[in-house]
Amino acid sequence: MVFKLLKKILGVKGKEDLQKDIFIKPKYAYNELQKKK
Amino acid sequence: MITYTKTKLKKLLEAQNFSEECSIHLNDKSYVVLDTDWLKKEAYPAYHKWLSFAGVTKWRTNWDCDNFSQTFKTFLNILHARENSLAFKQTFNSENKNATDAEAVAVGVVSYNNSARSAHAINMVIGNNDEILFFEPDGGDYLNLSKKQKESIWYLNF
Repeated sequence: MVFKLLKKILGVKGKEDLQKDIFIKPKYAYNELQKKK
Repeated sequence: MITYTKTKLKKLLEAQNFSEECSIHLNDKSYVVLDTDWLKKEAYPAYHKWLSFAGVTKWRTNWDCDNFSQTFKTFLNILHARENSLAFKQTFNSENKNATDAEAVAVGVVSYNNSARSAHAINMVIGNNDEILFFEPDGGDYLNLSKKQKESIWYLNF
């Protein structure tokens, strides 16, 4: 608990936060017809 | 989503004026097109963070253009595979579906001659409307290749 609080105060990112920053959701391309749907 | 079959992508690539000896390798049956703005503004910074963990963000002789272009292609395919993680067995006769079943993203590795004596490797990105873009993964920008450079392309791998 103390460790978690310290990490939050110091802005240290945990493994899960870093994974979220790196392994982001891909954004795909759509053609105009698909966009209108 | 804009998707290319292997045949359609091959046709598009063969219609370009690349080197006559250009060797084209298409390893998957289908390719999905990524949003080209997202690739530069969001995917590239994430890729850079990924490399920083391994301590290989800077060019050196054993971590050069072919390594940057191959790992950027792989990184984008990792994002694609994580997002569409269901195997065929999990989707067959089931309501569970992937957003896309394309086997890969439409981003390849391309090698060309950037002068009479040197070659360079970067990424080729397929965009909307059969657009072909070139991306420098050691820096994170789209590049304009000259006519001569395009004609010198001797290797493509998707």
